[in-house]
Amino acid sequence: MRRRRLLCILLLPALLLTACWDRTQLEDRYYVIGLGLDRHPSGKLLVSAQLAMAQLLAAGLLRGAAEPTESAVACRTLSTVAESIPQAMRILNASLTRSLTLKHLRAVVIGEDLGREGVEPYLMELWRHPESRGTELIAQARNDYAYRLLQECQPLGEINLSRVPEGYLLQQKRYHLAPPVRLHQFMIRMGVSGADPFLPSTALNSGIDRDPVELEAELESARAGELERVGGNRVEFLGTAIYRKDRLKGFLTVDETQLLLALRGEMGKAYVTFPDPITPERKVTLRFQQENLPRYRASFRDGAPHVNVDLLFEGEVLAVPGGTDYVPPAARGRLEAAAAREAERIIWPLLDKLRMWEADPVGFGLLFRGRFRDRDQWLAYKWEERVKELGVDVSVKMRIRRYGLHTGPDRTRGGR
Amino acid sequence: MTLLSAQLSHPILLFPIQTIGNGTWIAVLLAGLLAILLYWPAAAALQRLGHGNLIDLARQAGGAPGEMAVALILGAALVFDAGAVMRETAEMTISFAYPHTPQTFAMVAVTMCALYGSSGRTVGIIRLGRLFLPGLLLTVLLVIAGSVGWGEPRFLLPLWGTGLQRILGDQVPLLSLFLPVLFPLLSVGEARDRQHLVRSGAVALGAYTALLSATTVVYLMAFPLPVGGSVAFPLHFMSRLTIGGRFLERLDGIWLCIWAFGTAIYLSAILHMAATALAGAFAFPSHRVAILPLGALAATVALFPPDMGRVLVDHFAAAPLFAAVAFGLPQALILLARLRRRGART
Repeated sequence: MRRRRLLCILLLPALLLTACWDRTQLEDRYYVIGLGLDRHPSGKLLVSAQLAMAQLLAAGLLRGAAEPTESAVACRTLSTVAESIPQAMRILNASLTRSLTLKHLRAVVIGEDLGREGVEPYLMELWRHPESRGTELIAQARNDYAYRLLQECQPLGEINLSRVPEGYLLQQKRYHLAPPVRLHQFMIRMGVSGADPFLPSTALNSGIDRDPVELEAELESARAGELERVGGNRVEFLGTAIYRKDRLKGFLTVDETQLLLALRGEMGKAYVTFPDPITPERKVTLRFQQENLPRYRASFRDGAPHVNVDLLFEGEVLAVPGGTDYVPPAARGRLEAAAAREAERIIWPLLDKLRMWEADPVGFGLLFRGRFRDRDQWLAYKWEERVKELGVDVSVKMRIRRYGLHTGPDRTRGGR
Repeated sequence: MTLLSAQLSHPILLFPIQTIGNGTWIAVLLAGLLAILLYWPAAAALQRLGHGNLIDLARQAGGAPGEMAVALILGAALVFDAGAVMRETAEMTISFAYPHTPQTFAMVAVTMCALYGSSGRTVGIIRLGRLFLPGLLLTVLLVIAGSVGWGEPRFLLPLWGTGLQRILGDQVPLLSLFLPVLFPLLSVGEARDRQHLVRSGAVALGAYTALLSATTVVYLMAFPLPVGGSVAFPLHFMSRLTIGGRFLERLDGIWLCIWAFGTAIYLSAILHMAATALAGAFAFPSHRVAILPLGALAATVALFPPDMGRVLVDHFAAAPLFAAVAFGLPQALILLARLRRRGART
């Protein structure tokens, strides 16, 4: 007890040792929660800061849900043109009575123009900034400016802006519609040799005000901004933006995103709907996840890098509108084979796209790093130029493990 | 162990990572092993000496001039290290926590604490270090655990980094990481149980080597090269990445307090060692006499470099000197003392 008391006394001067010099109260600050980075037509940087209006949150920042009378997130978005992010912050402060701070920055959105031109210098500014932590979520705007996404973002039932990134993370954990990426992860993948970065893509959906009967009936895989839906937030997070080092190369659909994450061994639970192998006019829906981490075998074939990937999924039958009983082993085997073919059907075009973009978001290059004697030898190999020669073979296996709460066919009577 | 671990929050591996790359953690393991191999005979020789320390050994080896020369060399090296650490602490505070704090103020707090700590007896520093060690280790281990998930083990490949030659060639500057090993060598004479103190030094070297190597592995996974070669304060950067869900983040504010206190203990010990060495050689009535001048000298050294980059470059440039002082000097003194004894006998 005496030692503990002594330790507490000793730790008190530690507060002084940190050189705390001045104080800035909460009410002297505007907290930037979201930051948008765009290329302005003038060639300069268009910086947009989404500020949390803490004073409008009656119960403080921790409150998540809106009162029935409230209909909008308590935030404002300010924009300016500048040479750099710190300069933009300085300019934006001119009209404010509280000083802006990035200490609670939760999300960074990059406009498509800026992404295609190269983001490294601007993100380095942010990463170097003493107030940035590297844990901010980062997303890529598709077909749009980042500032428009910040302005239009009105999540349903939310008033506290800082709750939005957390809600987004939770959604991605459950449904894997877009990969959650933080600034630090993006930055290190941008720099490391043998892998390329990627980001969740986000866009404005212009069709959410339609009459629901006007929705397109074709349920093909979508990219951000293309979802057939009505109502909700105009901003949606869907699919992946693929980078080659610091330049945006293209966008993946939601299904491609799931398989990209599977190739990386990061796929959680995903959903797939495909033609019923026994009743092809109907479609079955499975929820599946990776049973094991992918097995990679890297080799050189005729001097070119080659990787074999074995993917093993386990699935749960969610819907069988065709009414087939998939519990018997023979039928189950056909369903497993069909599900594996469906995954492969998505993987091959995905790999073709990545080869075309000469990007390696899976990190196949990392498999080859260990085959080189030292770093200089590896760098001399110039992986970034070899990506287009990379051969990939993928073998997919699916095991159906569960059938929901009913093990028999999807019908209540003898037949449909 | 506290003195060694307190260095973890400082930019001790910035340049080794730039030159050795992914192989730095292996180089650290080898340097640790080498440090134990060099420390043990010196410590054992001092233990046999009875109530004497490194300065007494210097007297045996080179008489009064030798004793003074050794004390001056030790004092200069330690004051230079203290100055660099003071400045790094101030820069670290300004960079990570309080960008609006004046640099001098950031230095004053830690310097005052170091002056007070070093003016006490050796046993006080040892007790304080012992009391503080669990907290310090806990923060480092939590930061390591919190950073593991940010990296990929494959980032550590190629395993040898820039090559085995580099790993072996950079051992001398890496030995400077174990400079606090001088503490048991300078205080062994005061210890009641000298054998215990000597053994503790070796155990601390081994444990610190493992901890530093593990920290380096995790750092290189979370900050792979080339990014990892430009982060000045790795542990602080890693601490910012530690997230334990919605309600457990931004713990780095607490870590900063603990590491600042660790740095104060480190500086206390370094100044204490320098003062003890000079007091022994120049027959001061007490080591306290030298504390204030040495503190002033260290503060001057701290303010001398024009910018943070220069501090890091100078500190690393002096690494071979620190290694020579910590490991070469005791070995040379043992050899000279032995030769002198043999000469006297014949």
